[in-house]
Amino acid sequence: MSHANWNRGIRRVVWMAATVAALAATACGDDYEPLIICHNANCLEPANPEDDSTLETLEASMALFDEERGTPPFDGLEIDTFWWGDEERCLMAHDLDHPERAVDAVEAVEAVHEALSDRMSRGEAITRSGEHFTLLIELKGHVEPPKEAHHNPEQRRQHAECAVEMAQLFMDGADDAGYSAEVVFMSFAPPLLKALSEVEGFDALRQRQQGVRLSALHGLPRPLDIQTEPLDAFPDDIGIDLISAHPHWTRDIDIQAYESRGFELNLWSFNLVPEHYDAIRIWRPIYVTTSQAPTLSAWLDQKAR
Amino acid sequence: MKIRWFSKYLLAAVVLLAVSAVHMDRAWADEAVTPQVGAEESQWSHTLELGTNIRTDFGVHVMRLDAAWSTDRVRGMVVLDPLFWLDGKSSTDVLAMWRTDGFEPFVGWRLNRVRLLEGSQSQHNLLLGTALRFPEFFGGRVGGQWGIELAMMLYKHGGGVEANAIRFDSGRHYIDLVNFGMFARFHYNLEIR
Repeated sequence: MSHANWNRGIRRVVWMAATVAALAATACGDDYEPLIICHNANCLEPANPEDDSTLETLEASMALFDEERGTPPFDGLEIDTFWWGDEERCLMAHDLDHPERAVDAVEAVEAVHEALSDRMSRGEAITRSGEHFTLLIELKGHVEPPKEAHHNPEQRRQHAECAVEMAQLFMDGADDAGYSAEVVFMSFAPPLLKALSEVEGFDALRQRQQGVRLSALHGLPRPLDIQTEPLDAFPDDIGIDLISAHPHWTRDIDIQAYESRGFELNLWSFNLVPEHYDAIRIWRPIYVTTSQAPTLSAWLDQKAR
Repeated sequence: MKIRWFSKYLLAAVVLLAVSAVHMDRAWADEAVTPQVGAEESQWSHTLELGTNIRTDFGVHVMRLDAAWSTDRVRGMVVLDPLFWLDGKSSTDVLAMWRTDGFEPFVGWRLNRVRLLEGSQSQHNLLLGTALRFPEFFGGRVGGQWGIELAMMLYKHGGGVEANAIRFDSGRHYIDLVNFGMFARFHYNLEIR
């Protein structure tokens, strides 16, 4: 073999080794894991959205416990809230198709607190990560079944006061029972987040324990879903620090826009598919809100092995 | 972000190579193997294709390998995933394509395997889509396609979690299970006598 061929051969080997090393580096895991939030108070499997946001599924979901790892399969739970205009009630519900069946949102908070207190009294972990429990409160942007039926200013204030009352109740309970708690308020509707920030007691909430976060919410883009507002519709003077987005309808350019606003990421979905696992691996959200918390927990566990 | 950026650069590099090949093709045309059937066309009646299937969208690895058998009218293809060792996830496709002068609509089935604690979960997808044929080079030896696809997850099972099938009761039941993707494919043709 000539000297030139020998050098060429060495260069090829070096390039191949560098390529393999680069691929291996991207494949290797690290300590990153998102916090898992139980979507719509329902992470019973198989995922069935029909049972979302009912007291029965909330209680059954809060009872989920992974005996092998010694923790629940999630770090928090989402409660959907509606201001039901006809009866001026604050409900836990995913939609207003059957408001008469829905319970008051405060009852849902009491059920969460009761489950966590029981777990504390048994000396069990209350979250998968061992960190604080996150209560995610979504404020729905309409007061009647049609999504176009938005709040009037008074309804907006009442809905915001209800959400703050829920947070205060939850954090008071956490203080009494001795567990660490965090509240995230989330909405498609910028005016509702603005109203929240103006409710008396909201600033005091932000000073407590892990504090309170505000999240903008994006779903399917318009015109597929008229709830999704452009990013610049969310004011920058009320402390929004999180964006909740669906992985299928999020692109790199969206991620860059979120980062430019200083938002951390919460990815939400119902039913896990490979696209979601890739989005978690690439975009590294701080929260993942899913209806399949046990499955996501298992995936994270095997990834960490 | 590394893999996605890598995949974009890889895709760009492959497209540039294809454009370069147009120029090279002119020089090589005289030396190209003459097709046995339809000498003035760059296709044979039966062809074995060996290719790469490349994409940047989430859900499937950036590069997979495929093998196809094609006639003037149809193409049957299997796509295999050699990058399963990266993250324990693999995607295997079986496709049937109808060949027209330009577009090639296809139907197929994709098996996604996702490793969970108690083995792997299998996710079965219906594939529907269409591909646009690239020009062929080197006397028909090298070809390619750009395509769009709809992948609908119909049923998943295994991995120690409850089985789950798609339902259409409301948008919430299927919003996560219907996905769109784009791919580019480049293949080398072997004539089958």
